[in-house]
Amino acid sequence: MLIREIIFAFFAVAGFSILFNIPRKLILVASLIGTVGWGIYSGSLLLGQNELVGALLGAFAIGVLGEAFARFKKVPSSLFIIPGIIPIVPGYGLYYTMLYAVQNQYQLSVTKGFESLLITVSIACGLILAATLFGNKSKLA
Amino acid sequence: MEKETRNKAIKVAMEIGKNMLMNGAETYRVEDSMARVLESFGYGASNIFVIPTCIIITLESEEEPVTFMERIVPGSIDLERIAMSNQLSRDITEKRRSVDDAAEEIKKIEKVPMYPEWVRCIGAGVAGGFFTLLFRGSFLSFLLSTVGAIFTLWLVNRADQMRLNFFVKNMIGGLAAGLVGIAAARMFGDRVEMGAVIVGPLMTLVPGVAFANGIRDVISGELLSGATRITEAIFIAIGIAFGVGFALKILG
Repeated sequence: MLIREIIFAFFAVAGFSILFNIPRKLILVASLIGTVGWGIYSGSLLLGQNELVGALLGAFAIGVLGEAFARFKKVPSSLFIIPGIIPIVPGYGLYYTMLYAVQNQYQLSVTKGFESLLITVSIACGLILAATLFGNKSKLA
Repeated sequence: MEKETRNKAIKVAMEIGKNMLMNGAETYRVEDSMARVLESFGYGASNIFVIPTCIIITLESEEEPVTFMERIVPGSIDLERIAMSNQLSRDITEKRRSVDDAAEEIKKIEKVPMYPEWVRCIGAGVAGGFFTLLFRGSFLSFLLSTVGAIFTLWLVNRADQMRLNFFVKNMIGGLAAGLVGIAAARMFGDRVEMGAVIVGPLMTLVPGVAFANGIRDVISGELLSGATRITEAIFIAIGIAFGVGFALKILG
């Protein structure tokens, strides 16, 4: 099941890379990085970790790989990180938060909203951690 | 003369920053690149302030300090332009390009074409379709969601050309995705999952990256920039939800 999902995630990230107008020769690398991140995220969920830990680990992996390939290919790490985090990022959670709200299901909306917020904070922490440890030293943030 | 070269240098830094910011680069990266460009042109004492809708540069100098400000309209993410602008700022830092040379290169970056629309539509189709599979949709849902994602992106692009406001644009996108889902459920009944069919096209609109970048800005202390991005993300999500909610209410 995990392997099937990993293949799906690969194509999803590849599709997004094209939507984000990534340079042609980087599509494959970016998709692979996103796939690894998603594999780690959903792997840790399978091992019984909660979503916050999974998102942190997945984003950290994407950040580290992104920084590594950024040096190797001499491009900014955003090229790998922006499409890479797409499968983990709870954009869909944010949408659900608002959909519940417009359908008057306020309790579900608040639950979903907090969940999305915390997962996103987790992802941001993972990315910042990776940038701090492995990024170009003048570009800390 | 002195003033003229100084203004040119500021213009170059401004254009590089603008190109990166408009196309979705992180705030810290934009500020960093601009500061480096100005420093290698010999203007070390600069103050740069970047938020997603505005860039302000102030240069300190002995006779008179000077400030440039430009309003920015955030666009869609374009990684190729970020990469090219970054490369240009790197070239300037390594003294491979003069001010005039850099100004020429910026014009070239602005003219670089994106993928043609049909390729981008296929990209959206692939992204949407495989997300439906990730959300455990059936193969039939996968096909329908691919078509739905292509249709949604095409419609959103048209809305873009008409320069519709971002909220209205996302509402139209949500409406389109909702209608495709409802039509699929009417046509195929129990063989498709309506939720999964709607998910796919929506994923191409949903503001996940903007939200994550906003949170990242806040955590790094760029409070204003983060607040701007998060507000934008929340209102995009509300727009999409309005669209889908409307479709479900009327026809669902």
